[in-house]
Amino acid sequence: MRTASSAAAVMCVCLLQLAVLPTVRAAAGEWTPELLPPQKGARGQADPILIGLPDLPVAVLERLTLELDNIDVTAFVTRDGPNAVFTPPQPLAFGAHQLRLVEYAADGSVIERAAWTIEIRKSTGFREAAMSANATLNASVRVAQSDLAENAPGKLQGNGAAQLQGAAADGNWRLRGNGDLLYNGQPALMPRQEGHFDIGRFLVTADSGPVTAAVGHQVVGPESLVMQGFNRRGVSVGLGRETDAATATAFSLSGQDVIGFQHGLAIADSANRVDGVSIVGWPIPGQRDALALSTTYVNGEGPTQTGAPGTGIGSNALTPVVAGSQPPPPVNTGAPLVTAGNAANLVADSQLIERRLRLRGEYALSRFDADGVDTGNDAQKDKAYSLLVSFAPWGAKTAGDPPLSVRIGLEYRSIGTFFQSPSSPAGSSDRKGTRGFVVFDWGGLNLSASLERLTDNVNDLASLPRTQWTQSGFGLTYRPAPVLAPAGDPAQPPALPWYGQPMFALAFSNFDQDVIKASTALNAGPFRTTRSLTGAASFTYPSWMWSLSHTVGEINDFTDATDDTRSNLTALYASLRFGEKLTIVPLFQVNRIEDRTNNAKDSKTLTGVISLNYAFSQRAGANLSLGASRQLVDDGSLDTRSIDTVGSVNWIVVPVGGAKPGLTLTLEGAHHNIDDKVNTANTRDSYELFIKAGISWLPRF
Amino acid sequence: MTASAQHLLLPAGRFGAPRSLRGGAAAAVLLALLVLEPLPARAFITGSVAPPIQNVSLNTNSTVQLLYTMTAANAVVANGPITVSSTQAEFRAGCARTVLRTVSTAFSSTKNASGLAASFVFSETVRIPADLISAARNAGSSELGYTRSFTDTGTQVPSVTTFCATFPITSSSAAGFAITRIAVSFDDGAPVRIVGTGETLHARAEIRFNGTGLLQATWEIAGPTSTAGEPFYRPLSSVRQYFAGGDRQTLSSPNLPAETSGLYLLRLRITDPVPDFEQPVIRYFVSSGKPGERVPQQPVGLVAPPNRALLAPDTQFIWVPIRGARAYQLELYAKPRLPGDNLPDLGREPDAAPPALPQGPPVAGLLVSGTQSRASLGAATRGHLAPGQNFLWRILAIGGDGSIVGDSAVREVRTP
Repeated sequence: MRTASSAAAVMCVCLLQLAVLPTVRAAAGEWTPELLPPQKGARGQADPILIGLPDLPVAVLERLTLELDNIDVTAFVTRDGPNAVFTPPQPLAFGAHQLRLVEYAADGSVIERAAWTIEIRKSTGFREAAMSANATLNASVRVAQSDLAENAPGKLQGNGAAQLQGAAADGNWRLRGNGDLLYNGQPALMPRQEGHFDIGRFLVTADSGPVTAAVGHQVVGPESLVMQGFNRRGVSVGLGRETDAATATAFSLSGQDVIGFQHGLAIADSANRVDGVSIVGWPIPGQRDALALSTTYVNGEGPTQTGAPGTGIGSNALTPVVAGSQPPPPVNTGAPLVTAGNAANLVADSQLIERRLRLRGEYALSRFDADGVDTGNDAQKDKAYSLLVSFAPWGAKTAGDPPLSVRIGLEYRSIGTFFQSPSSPAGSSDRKGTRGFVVFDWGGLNLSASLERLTDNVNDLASLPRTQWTQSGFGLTYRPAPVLAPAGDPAQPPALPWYGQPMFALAFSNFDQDVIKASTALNAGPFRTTRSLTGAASFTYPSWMWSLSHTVGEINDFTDATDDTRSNLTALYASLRFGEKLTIVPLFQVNRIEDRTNNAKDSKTLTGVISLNYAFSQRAGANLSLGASRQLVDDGSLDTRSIDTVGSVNWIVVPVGGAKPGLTLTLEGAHHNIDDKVNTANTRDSYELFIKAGISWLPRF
Repeated sequence: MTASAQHLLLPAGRFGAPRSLRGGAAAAVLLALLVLEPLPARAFITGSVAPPIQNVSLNTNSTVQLLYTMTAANAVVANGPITVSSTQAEFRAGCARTVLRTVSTAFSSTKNASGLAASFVFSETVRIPADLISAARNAGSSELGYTRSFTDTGTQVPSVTTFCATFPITSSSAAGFAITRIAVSFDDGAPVRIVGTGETLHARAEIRFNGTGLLQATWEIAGPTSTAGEPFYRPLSSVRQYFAGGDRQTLSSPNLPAETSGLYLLRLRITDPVPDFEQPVIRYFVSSGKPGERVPQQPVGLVAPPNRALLAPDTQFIWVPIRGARAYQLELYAKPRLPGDNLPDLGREPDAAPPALPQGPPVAGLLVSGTQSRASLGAATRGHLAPGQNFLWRILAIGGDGSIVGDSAVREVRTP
């Protein structure tokens, strides 16, 4: 490496090549690199980036690393006289990028020699200005069919979708947006089951300096007891940058999840809206990990537990249908239950000793009317808090050669019986207790264990029973490091042994619940237990893998309110790729449930799915999938068999490319066979066969 | 009610009285027997309601499926018709206590007796709103009673017989096993996605439940081979999982097919316990690429490290090179956490597929020449990876024209 390299040596493995600079001068102490200005006035996406370096000792040059947006790009740095030159192998995105030159000191520490922000400009007017789309429109004609429903759609159908993205930025402002558009000739298949054209989720964000605004579906604020998984359409405004000592976000989001061209921004209806503010602060300058304080307040009303059609949410928070003289339908179609309330919390989160010690505490209050506004009880107040300590005794420690890692932790939480937040529709309530856990890693061995003891009836309601349960889990995973065989071809990686990369796993979980305070309906004593044990093994190769697992489990109800059962589930899965043309993915599952209370209710389920994908060429391919299932209950209440076969043959007539639309022709069909020996009305043998023409367009502006 | 012909039938159920039935229902029935007028010399309807007792959660709506099984005896005419009917049911603060609400659902059935008796079975879905549970508590009761009276005609002495099912009020952890909420989404949280052909895609179902039990469900999909006409759902995989303690649990779908352009409908069809609300369907559309670009065509095979390996300074990332790659980029992303999960990853579910890569740039990475097929992370790069965390990684292959020509599967790596 110390011989002079030729100018033709474009790429190198590291900045070692800079060491071939003929002059070795400067001392290794104080020196400053210089980012050279772009040659054309503005940096282009593929323009080389030049960094001027002083004369440095070879030993220093050997220890330099260049990072672009946290990616080590040293391998693509070459020399050009006294300069280091990074040539991006891939056009850089428009906008700001972080460039960092670091040196590994002799003592192993990392010294940041320089950090710059570079800007890739689209034009002189905009730093960033781009619009792109992914649009597909399919037209299908059904050419053959059998035993379709009477209300089956017409033979000629169309569907399509477009994904739109756009961004513009300059100076200290930036505007970004994305959205999905859907089209279908069958309104029943649209997310809201109406219309032919609709919008999926969308989000537009704008920021200028420390101010950020977002419109559309979004998750705001840190996760906490009062806000969990609350992804809703609405508006938010934030103040503060990531590097500031504090940030604040005010938001107004829809109570019920919505989708499509309805409800506008979903904030106009105060009876279906959650408003709030979230503030996060880092009070210790320069040590953001040491302490982060956050607080969130939300106040809202609406059917927050539910989602409108198409949002993927189903809930029993529905007003029961007044049945009248007829039996109610098996599926409740009542109106979503409107609840209301507010909640607030304070969280302190600290990571100390090189992040090996974590301390987290949260205290939250809520006032929530859970049984419906204007019905039942008024809103009830309650509180919740949690404390978490986790500690990793060692940082980078080895035992022998393999790395060793241990993390232990303890969590205490108490969530009141009536604690509920309008922005945490699936949050837990009414439980109090402690959980301890340990995670041990040594090389390929991973061992984890947890033990949790909880009680309910936290508010000690006199008329209600109290139960206590212990939940324990144990997991053992072993991934031995196979000896890799050197490849004959130096361009190829070493090969795995014949058995691939193995993984063996054992997981056990146990749940024991007792009644510790009796009520008029429940005696004190053992209540319920469940246990399950899973053994699994998988073997992975670069282009294929297979796995086998078996789970046994049982559930016992000492009150005899439900049957005691024992289940066995065996699963075999594989993903096999043969060359570049053929892929086969089989899955087989066998499940047997033994009802130990009533043997006549023993059941059995078999599921088999196999998918084949074959590429005739880069422009033609075929897919075939066969799925079969068998469900049987010994008492004869269920006896079904189904076989589904789907397949397609695709031919890309005109490949899509940039602004040039592509055309694909497809022959596809499905055969659906169900034999239901109990409810014979479900028995059917149907098929559909389609010819489809699809036009795709991937423009970018 | 005409008390002279009325009695309450202790709901024995198929399994007999539960061992822990401390007397809630039984005492109520006994009390009722004492306060009512004497029973007729002979009961003409005998039977049971199942389940006779079912715990319901304090804070949520509940649904209970009741099955009334009964025999009406002493037909006026041998083999003659007997009619059994019920005009309404009542929610009470206990079987024989205050009526809280009346349910006007009616049942009626006429059968010819076999000899002098005829058997009847009625099934009823009872929906218990949360405000009714509040009302029972406000009335000082720890349980709800659901009473339904049946009358028989066509018998020698028409009678009225009342069945009562008891619903003790408990926490969600002690309630009967029931699904109260399902939120199905793709791994980015959206219920609608547009993805490129061949893209890797998963979904997850966050399930809120009461009680403890074995969930039985099937991931099912209807693809373009039928959604251009009548959608046919086919199974992708079965789910059998124990849920315990009345909390929430998240299930991950298998890899979702994305080989053919068109509309796909996905659902997790829960068959036990069957929710009493409509089970959600989410959808995705497979198109030809991503906005402005085609998706990678060539898979990059991975050799090492194995999934969920512990990262060491000398950990080698090894992959199988592909044609036309000018460079490979190793990218590491912070693993997204599930909502509400503040604990460290305990390493469960060794077979679980890694989640989708999060939006946004990687937290660290490495760019190497296309002639390389292995690399290890330098100290500066490892410095971007917080200790004790889980990260997702993949290899991107960059072609001579700067486009992405291949990518690998996503694997997980952990830092000590």
